[in-house]
Amino acid sequence: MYLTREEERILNGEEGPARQLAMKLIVRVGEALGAERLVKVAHVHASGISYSNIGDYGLEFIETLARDGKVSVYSTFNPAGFPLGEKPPYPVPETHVEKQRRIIGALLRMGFELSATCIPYMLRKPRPGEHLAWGESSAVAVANTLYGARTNREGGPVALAAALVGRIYLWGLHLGENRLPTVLVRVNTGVDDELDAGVLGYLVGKNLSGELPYIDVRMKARRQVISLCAAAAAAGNTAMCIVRGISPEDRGVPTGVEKIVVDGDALRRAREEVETASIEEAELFFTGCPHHSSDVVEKVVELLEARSVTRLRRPVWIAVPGNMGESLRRYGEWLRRRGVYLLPGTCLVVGTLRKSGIRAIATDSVKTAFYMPRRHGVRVALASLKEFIEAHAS
Amino acid sequence: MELRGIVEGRAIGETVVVKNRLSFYGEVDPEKGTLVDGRSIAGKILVMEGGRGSTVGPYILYALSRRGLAPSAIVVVEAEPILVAGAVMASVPLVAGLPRDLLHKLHDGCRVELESVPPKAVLAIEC
Repeated sequence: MYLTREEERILNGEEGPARQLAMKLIVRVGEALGAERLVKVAHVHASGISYSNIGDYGLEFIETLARDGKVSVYSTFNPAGFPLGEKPPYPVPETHVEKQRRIIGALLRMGFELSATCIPYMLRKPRPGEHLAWGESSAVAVANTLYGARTNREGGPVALAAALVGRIYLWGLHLGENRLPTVLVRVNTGVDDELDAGVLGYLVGKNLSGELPYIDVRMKARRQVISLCAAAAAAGNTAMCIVRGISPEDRGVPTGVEKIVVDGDALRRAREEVETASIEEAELFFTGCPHHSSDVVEKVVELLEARSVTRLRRPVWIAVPGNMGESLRRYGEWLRRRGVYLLPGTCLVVGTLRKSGIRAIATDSVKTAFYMPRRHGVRVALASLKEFIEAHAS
Repeated sequence: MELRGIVEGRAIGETVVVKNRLSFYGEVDPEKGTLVDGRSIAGKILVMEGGRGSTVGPYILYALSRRGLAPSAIVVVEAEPILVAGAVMASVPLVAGLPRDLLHKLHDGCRVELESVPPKAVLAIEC
């Protein structure tokens, strides 16, 4: 691999052992993939920082890096295993809390932004054509699909390494020639809300792993694209789609590629496949996978006020970025009294919900519905937030 | 035999052969350095098809090396990024390009001597 003089210097250890190890990681992985050189990145986002996910060994590695490692580019990290700064509405094992704090402490010492979110694009908006090194499969797909920025899916340690050296191997989706659609997905049915978009994403991920789908569909909201990306990335290894009329790299419906038609029946069947519980069984409603920004919290406040809800018979949990806990505190108490709990900086997929005894939940996130039964043995019903609130208001 | 050097280093030791792909997460005990079938990989030359699976895998290989339980080298048919990341973190020499038919002929207890200087590696096997 070709390296600049500065990159050689880092590789030779002239900027300390942490940066040397980081550079070696990126160069060796890049060489194994056949990359010819490295590229500077504008923003690194590290996934795999939940203690329940990486355990003592991950903690050990991150603390070793933090001894002398400092980030050299704007860097953020994924949600943690429990809500930050709020009393969680479910019990969290104590060792878990302490070790998660140590992981976050090490990241902050290295210069990471206190982010704890899976929507890094809300903290810093990616520019078209810009190179990034992101973990978190849903954010990667959103960066490529919605913003036209360039990133592969980088696993835990590689993303940490990229933060320290501010570079990644020039390979895969960093190269223009790999960003062209390879299959056309024509959607012959209405995709009305986030939930429908998620189900469509699940179909795309499950059936078109390794492809770059052009999705010929009319979508109204950005949140729908995010939902589609998250589900596709969970169900398969989809790291980019082109959504008609929305993706910056949309060059029109591609010709000469295989075509797949999705109709209302296919969406209904896919939804049945993902749903593992009935709405009646759901002990709570979870929304915010990927994380919500404050507008959704405000929408819930409005909805509760408009219907003068004093208490929801079943609670609603809303996951938001870790750095939003503070600004939303003014709603916290008011919402809690009504049965709505904010979960800043966490995610049920990387959490310990199972240990709290909860067996079935409802959600509007197809990504959550995909992972919870597989990873945590928690069954999931699909519904919209509004539907759930209306059904359980009192 | 000349193969591809991915992570540098030299090693001499006995083989432990895994005929398919191995996920360090879930298939290797990080406290004992053993495979699920009980064989120890500590200090051995681990010969296998390649790595696979969870991105937590590199942390397991790293933990093994911190406990002195890592293999002394890894030889694979194909190296994928997760295995490469783990080998760098653990400073375990990694060599790729082992012919697949040779993997199927090898068994535990063969003697291997190897030197990996990326992009090249030299390997001698005696069974």
